[in-house]
Amino acid sequence: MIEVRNVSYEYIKNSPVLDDISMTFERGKTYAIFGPSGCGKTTLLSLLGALDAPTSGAVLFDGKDIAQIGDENHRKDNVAFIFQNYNLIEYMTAAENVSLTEKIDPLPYLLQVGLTEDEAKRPVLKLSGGQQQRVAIARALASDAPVILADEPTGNLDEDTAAEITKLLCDVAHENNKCVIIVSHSAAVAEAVDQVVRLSHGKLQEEV
Amino acid sequence: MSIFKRAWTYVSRTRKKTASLCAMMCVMLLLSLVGIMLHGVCMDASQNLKEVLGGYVRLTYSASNDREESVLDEALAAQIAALDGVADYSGISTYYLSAPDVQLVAGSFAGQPQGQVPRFVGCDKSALHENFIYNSFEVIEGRHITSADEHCAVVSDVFANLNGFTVGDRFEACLDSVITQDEAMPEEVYSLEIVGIYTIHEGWEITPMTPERDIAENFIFTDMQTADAVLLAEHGVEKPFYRQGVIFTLNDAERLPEIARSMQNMDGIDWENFELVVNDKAYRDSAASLQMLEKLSLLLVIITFSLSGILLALVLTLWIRERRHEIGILMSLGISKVSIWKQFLLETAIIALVAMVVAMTLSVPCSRMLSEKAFDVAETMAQSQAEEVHDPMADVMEKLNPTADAAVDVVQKDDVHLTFAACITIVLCTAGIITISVTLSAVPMFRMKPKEILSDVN
Ligand SMILES: Nc1ncnc2c1ncn2[C@@H]1O[C@H](COP(=O)(O)OP(=O)(O)OP(=O)(O)O)[C@@H](O)[C@H]1O
Ligand SMILES: [Mg+2]
Repeated sequence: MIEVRNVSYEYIKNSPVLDDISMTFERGKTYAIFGPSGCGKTTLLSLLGALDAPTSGAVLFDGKDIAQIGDENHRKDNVAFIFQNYNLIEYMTAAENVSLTEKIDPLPYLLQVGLTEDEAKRPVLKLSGGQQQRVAIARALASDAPVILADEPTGNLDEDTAAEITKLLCDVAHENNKCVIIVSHSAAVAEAVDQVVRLSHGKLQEEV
Repeated sequence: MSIFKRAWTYVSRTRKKTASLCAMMCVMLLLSLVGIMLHGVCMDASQNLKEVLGGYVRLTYSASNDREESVLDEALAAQIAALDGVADYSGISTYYLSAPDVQLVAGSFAGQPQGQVPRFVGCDKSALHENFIYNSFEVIEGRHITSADEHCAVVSDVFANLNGFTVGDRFEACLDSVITQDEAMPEEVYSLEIVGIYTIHEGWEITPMTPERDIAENFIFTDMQTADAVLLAEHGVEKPFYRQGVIFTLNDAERLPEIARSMQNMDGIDWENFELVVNDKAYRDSAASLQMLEKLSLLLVIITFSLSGILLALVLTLWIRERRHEIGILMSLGISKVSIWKQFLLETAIIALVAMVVAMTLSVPCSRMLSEKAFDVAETMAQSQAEEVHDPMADVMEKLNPTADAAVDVVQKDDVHLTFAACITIVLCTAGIITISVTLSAVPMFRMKPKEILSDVN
């Protein structure tokens, strides 16, 4: 349903980070993207989420080029991000960050990721790194977008919480028929997901 | 979350930033408002001065006129007063009567019968007499003489105090041999009712040689009917006329030369016998400084406006720049650029509104204080100028120097006010500057990809 087709991306001319990759990610499935640091995983996610446009090739959603859908529309309706560095609005509370774009009660989502009611009402800057990361996850969970793009969502969490969150993401994919793509270095994540994809030297490889 | 909720959350949570932006806007708005108000005061003052300073023409007799055939009477005055630009008129007739029962301010004739002779100034409207036009004299109790009055008088406060008179009291004046020099003539007694009392702001020097009748405190303004009656009794003049001419006041001193010209071109006035004394010297003397005042205050407005405008634009640009990260996040969440732009506008509008209310409240007392200071300076300047301003009339009124600083007094110091137009101008300018600077500083970021913004920030 979300597909990269012959996508190349270069920050510096003639040294592509992504080199003519093609791949389709399906609904109801979870993916983990592995690869050494600096290989272009975050770059790939931002292309999928229309935060950036590929140098060549196209990203398609349900068969339609997202350039045609419109970046803003694609970001609003089709994808939800969990950023490596959380990207929360600093002057808002955890709850406000979660309900920023959706008309929902944020509390259940925050409780789901293991935050307390008190923490939900706190300005995000008064939360720990791990707690902030969980707010970012709750924000993505609260979104009704069919694709969740998670960039090392459990990087700042202890093993148990990380496992719980990973399970949560996988359950959401299966129960709500979403496509969840997780960038990770963790073996636990590789265990949990349906499909592992390896990115190296600008090329994508599906692992069996 | 609605745009308004987002804007409000920002404004209410980032209090320090909001408060400093608000304070800054408040100072700029205050400066602009004060500038506008001072400009308004200057324009009002200038307008008032134009009206007061020599905004009149005096029609009088030429030296060759023996006042037997050609005289200035009411019919002629009314004819001239009908001209466009003439506001009002009053004839002036000076005459003398003995007032043996009252006490005058003593002069060179003290103790002699001549020492009981004050100056009577008959007017249709005493308010139009030069002394009152220039506020050298001011009625402080009762009222002025009007053309409907009969046997009424306006006297000085000094005279009233000397005799224990108040408004409503009567005193007698008579046409006797001291005046007529004719023992055979029957005495005429006139009983005058005091209808007003004036005080003297600007008198003139008196010496031991000054006769009683030339002392300002001994001036008695009466109605024209009494003056005409005395003229009839003393000289047998049956058709009354204005002995010292007629004063015509104008709506706008600037038009004085033009109106004087149209007077001179009128049919039926024999200019051999009459003279037009165009008294705009005071106005002309002040015109340059008035124009300077107007220009300076306009310059003040332009400078405060543009400085505040530029500063506000700079501050807003920095303010938006600081929020790059937030713009990146909002964009990555799929919130549209228009919505983000509206949020910023709304935030600044809320802050500006608060600043506006504070600035408007503070601006009136601030301007009042400043304008008082300015007028003190103006008054000192006018006083030094006043010594040079002389009425060109070589009449009995020669001594009654209308002075420019008296005119400054006429400008009321509490004239400082905020006009609706000024408020609208300020609101529109502020809204314009906010919209333009927010848009100009946000657009370059809107052009960038969210990834660029976010990775720049991190
Ligand atoms: N704005 C940029 N300009 C130039 N080069 C960039 C820019 N952003 C990233 N890169 C380079 O592109 C490559 C891919 O970066 P990317 O952030 O996608 O890596 P990553 O796989 O997410 O790494 P990590 O696991 O450390 O997060 C890196 O070598 C990085 O140095
Ligand atoms: Mg990365």
